[in-house]
Amino acid sequence: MESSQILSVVTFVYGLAAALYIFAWVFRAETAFRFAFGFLAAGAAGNALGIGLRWVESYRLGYGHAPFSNMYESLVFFALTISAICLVVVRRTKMPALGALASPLAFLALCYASLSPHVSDRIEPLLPALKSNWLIAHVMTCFLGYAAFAVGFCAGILYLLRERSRERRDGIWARIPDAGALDNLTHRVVVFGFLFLTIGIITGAVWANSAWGRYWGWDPKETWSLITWLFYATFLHARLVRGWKGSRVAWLSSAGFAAVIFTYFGVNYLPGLHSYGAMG
Amino acid sequence: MAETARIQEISADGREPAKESTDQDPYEGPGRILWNFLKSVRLGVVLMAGLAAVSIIGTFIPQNQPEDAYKDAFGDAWTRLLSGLDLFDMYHSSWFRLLLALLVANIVVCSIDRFRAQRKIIFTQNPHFLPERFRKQENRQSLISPASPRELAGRFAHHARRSFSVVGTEQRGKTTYVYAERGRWTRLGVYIVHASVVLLALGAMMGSFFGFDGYMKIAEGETASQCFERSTGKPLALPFSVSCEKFSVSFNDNGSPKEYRSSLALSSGGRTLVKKDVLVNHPLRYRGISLFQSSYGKMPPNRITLALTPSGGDAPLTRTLSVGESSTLPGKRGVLTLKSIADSYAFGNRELGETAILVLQKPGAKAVEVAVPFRFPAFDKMRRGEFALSVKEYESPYYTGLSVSRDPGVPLVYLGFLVLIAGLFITFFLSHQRVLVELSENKSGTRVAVSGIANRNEPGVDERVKRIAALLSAPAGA
Repeated sequence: MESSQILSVVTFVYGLAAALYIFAWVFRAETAFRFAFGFLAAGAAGNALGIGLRWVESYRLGYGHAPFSNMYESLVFFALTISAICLVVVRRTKMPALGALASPLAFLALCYASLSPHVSDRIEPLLPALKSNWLIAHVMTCFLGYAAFAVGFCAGILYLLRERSRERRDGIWARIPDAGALDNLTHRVVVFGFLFLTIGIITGAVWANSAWGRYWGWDPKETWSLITWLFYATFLHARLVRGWKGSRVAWLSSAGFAAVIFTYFGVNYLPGLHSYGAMG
Repeated sequence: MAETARIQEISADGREPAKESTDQDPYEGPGRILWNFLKSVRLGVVLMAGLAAVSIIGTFIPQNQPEDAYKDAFGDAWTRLLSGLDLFDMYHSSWFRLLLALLVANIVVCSIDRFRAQRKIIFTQNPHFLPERFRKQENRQSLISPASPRELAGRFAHHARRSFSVVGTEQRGKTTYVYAERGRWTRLGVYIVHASVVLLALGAMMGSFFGFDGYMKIAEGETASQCFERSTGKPLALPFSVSCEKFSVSFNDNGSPKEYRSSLALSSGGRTLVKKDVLVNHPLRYRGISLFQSSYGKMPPNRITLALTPSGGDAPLTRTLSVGESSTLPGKRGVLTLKSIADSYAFGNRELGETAILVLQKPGAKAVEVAVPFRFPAFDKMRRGEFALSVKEYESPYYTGLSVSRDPGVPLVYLGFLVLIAGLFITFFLSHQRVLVELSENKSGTRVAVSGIANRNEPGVDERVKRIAALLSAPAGA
């Protein structure tokens, strides 16, 4: 079986896991919650297998590079990191609501990878600038950071939903996890994401220095990663030193993820990027 | 005693003390005012958020474009305004650098200020403990043990010596307290992170004061010993000359570039210093200067083969000339010199593109300049000379585009990177944990209470408390 076929199946499995988490949340179904975990774990295993197989296929085609070289491959890896972090967090916190928000993100990432006409799933040879051992370390750490921020975004959204529904203590609103637990979870995943974003930026800088002789060039992608980093650094100081808690932190966590998404996708739509001289 | 205990009380819950150093200087001069301004965490938060916000501007306005591109996009008035605000090179502007410098100053002052207040806590020789604080902990575990307080204290102390750095026993009234702690030094984590930012700033400053960032183009087979600074275009002499012995580019089946390779040789005073093939991601480093493969292209042609077609209809002659080279034509028809090769040549209002400029010197006549456009072989027929000249072949060599840079700040920056990662790890994943075991004898045995405090990562200390409670509830001798 080819990697792209496996990944199509994985998309379906992720969709099923997401549906089960939503079901488990809405109907307080313990069985569905356990099945959702099983499907998400199976999806993640298939996702990892798909990435491994794609690696092998690129060797078979004679290119031989890690599958982290284009939008399709990064989305596939993003889906894996989201589902992995979601699995760990759900296992520890037993929050079906969090699974119901986070697992659809893994599903959406894979859907976008396979369905968008702008994302090609062909295995292409590596551009000379990408031929570096730093590629693997850089991509892995960045996407672990992005995925942690994605889960932090979900926890923040849940917190805000809880605030909005303070009077309505029935149905699914009653099953949003405890505010303190959500606040704590948001902080923990943001801390994890911040460490990995930092390592991601650093490996990128070391790589840039070995490829172009400059560790920092204020390229829009670099600048946006710094903006995201500064945003979360502000977040951590607001929380740890100025004692921010609750909804303010939840808003920051949600807004921070917008910066992450812009760093990942939005930068590609900025005027004049990488094709210097062409003004938008 | 009271003073130490109070400080400990503030800091023990993991939040840094909100009020800064207690040893305030009553002097209120400008230095003190500046210090108080720079030490505030609020300033740091505002600066970081502000830097993040203004950095967005430069990602929407393309930076360092030619001025005409800005005029086309924004119009004259806006271009003048935006250019006045340095927004076309904002990351190197003085106001952006001022913001960065202010942030670094804030980090330094704020850290010193907090460190002064925390120094006693971090480096204390005999840590104090307040039983009331431990009693308030949710992780408190209580049990009754048949063993004696002495035996239990010994059991815990034996266990604690392995996993805690400080263990102390104290008798207060009828209660025995055994206190243990670990990771007090991890409170330094945040200062390590802040020190790394200072290292990064110093490294960046060293790079901009003592380094350079330039580029050079060398044609295949040529040698150059100067490069041009990227921001100003100013020539910079290099301490060696660089020869590009060969340049090659290869392509994948889909037409995308596969590899650029420049075979370079550095030499000085006629002596070859080093030879290396430079590829993207594989620079040549020599004495702190690095040469990187950055671009490539074709040079203008420097050697052409001309066809000389006699007007009479005889067979054409050919002559191959480099720029500056001359050739004598047969039958006293003069000397032909290749004067130059122009990128463009205007004929009336038409642009003819690359054109060879030749000079024909007939004996006893005035020299005539002859233009031979590469793309129009019939052009020279209009001159109605004895020969019509046309360019048959031309050679344009590859040039390699190299980035040449020296950045003595890099080791400092890399050190900053390592310190930053270590500091973040210490700050976020290690904690200062303290455990207090209270032992008091009563009729049925010993009342045992275990509780723990951590300055962060509370689940870790909760787990420890549970394990210690299990240890102390086990039957004697277990």
